[in-house]
Amino acid sequence: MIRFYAALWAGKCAKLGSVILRKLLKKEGTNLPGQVALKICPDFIDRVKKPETVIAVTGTNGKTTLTNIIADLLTKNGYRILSNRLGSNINSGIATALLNGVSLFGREKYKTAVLEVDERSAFRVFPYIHPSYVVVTNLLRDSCRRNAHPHYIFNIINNALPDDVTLVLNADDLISSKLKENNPHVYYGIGKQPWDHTECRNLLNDMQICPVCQGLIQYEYSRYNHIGRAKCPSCGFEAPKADYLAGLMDYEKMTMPVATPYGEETYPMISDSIFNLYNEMAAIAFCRAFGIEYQPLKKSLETTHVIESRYRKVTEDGVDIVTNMAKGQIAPAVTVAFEYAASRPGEKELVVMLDDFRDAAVTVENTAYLYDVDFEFFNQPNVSRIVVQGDRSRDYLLRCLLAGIPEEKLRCVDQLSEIPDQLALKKGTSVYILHDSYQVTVKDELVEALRKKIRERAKA
Amino acid sequence: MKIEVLYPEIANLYGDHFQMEYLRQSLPEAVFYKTSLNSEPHFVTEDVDFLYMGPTTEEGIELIVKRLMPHKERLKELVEKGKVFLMTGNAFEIFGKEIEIAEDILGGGDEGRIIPCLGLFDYRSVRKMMHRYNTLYWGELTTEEGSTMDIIGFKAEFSYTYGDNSKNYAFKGHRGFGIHPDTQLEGFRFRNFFGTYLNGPILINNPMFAKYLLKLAGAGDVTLAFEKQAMDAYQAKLKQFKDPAIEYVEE
Repeated sequence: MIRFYAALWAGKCAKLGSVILRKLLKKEGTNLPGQVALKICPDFIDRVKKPETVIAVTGTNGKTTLTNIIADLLTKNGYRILSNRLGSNINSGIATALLNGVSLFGREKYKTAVLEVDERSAFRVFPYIHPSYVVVTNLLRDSCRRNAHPHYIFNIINNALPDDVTLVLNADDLISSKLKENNPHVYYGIGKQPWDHTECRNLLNDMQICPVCQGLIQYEYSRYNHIGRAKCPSCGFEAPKADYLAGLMDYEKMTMPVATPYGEETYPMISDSIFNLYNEMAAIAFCRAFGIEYQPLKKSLETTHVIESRYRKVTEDGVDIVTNMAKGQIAPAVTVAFEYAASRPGEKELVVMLDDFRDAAVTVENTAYLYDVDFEFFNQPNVSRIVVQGDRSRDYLLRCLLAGIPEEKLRCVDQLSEIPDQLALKKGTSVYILHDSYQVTVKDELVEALRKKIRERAKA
Repeated sequence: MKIEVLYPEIANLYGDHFQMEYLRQSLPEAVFYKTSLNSEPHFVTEDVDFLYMGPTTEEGIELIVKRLMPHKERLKELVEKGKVFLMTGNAFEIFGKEIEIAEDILGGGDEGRIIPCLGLFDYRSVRKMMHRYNTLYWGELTTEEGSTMDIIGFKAEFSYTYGDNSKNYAFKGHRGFGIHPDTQLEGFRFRNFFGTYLNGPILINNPMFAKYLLKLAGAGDVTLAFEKQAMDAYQAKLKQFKDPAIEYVEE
């Protein structure tokens, strides 16, 4: 007990220190208080008083977005929420949030918490925070060095989850939908849409076999990777039925009908991207199961927005310059950015700069993920030029060629400064800069260089 | 030329599946069989020239062992005949004696369980599910004619493999560890059977090795798809791998 209070107070002091540092450095969020508390008391997360209801959000992609949506919806419906949305999602970030949620004497200040939990850290968090609900976005391929494959992460989460927690799961994800099969479940999904495919268009599909008979499964509809509605033609196995199922999306009115256990309800669509619509469906399923009524939920969603922080567009003399983060070494995330850029209408030029600067500083970046990324999406007539740049540019070039992209469209350069000269930057066209998450400032430099070149050309 | 890819629906991790697409583009005339788990492999009834299997999940290993066990003697025969086998990542463990689960995922309760494998070769693997071994590897392959080629690759694995490969290694290392941390001898080779943990994928990152294997398989001197660009990418990476400042083992 003495160790716990020492940890609590040291953590509170660290919090004060970090607030001052944050003001000086103008940076959001820190795990320092949690790190200090865990150092002094390794079972701090277990010992600290938690809010009465803890809602955890985990999965591979979309955790932060979904945590924010759920926290916003609950706040709009009168709940006072403790959250780690400004901190990190590993155990020190969770410890920091819980430390913020108690007084100096360890009394809890909140009745409800919404916590984003890193899927790889599940065993360090779930057994100790005892969540009432765990909402899972999806389980997809991630870093091969850290997360291996989604079935590995499935087992980590599955072993870490308590037996009584209610799970809110994606029925269209045949991996995560099988978590803790004996627990209470609420399933969400998105029904067949006119633009759906019936075959997976991605190189990556981690659920090609039936979990019962190992026969090849078929998709009634396929969205991306293994996400879609699957069934086994050999033994009849089917994915679980969604309790909350979105129907035909109306992209003009931006509304969607949702079949629920209470009848059909209509909600505003908070985004036109399928990834965020799955996040919205997860939030709707959770909130309705949690007891929020239809009308207040609908009203709250009308003012809910998704922040597209990874995407930015500027226009210079008729040329759209778009930057889009493609989180390097994580194939599905890179593919999403690639597909988005390639699918935009009009003629476009692409810049691929995926080098992971953090790795490049000390080692040689693993190239394996490049062969899980769908460079094939770039092979379209309206992509007029692709410039690949960086230490790994020769690997990107080879990958583009193996994707069937004509050699005359490709340019390979080492330095950032060489990129502008390789682009035509014609009026009425777009340039998409697809960059790794560690290249945020570098891509800004490139945007400025492109704008300068366009301005100089306009003057001439 | 007949190439059989075993169980691509599950043996497809870490980009390695694409090296068969690389061979397909390099050998447009070759016949490619993609054999799924519930089908009988083509090698059972016909001599294939090149048998490939890539890394898979831990559950996948057990499904594959079950499928291949009835064909163990036939596989042995094909190895003896000098057919080319390329088994990458943990697919290579299947051909050893056994896999020991020394450490399961927390709460899994499988510690100490032994998975009997095909036993074609005298090595065993030890798996620790809460440890991920990441390293770069730079070594060399010596051909039958005595020439050498640099081999580079990456490793990301839960297992080490133990057994005497001093006469049967695939690659002799310069930097990075081999089949376990106390050796720089990587993989296992017997006649034209090659087993290695290297990913990247190995054939695309090492075009000279791809040409060498295709020659062993009877395809002659093949010009690979985009060979010049593949060699450029190989040379650029090799230069970095040879840089003494580069860190190999990720802590």
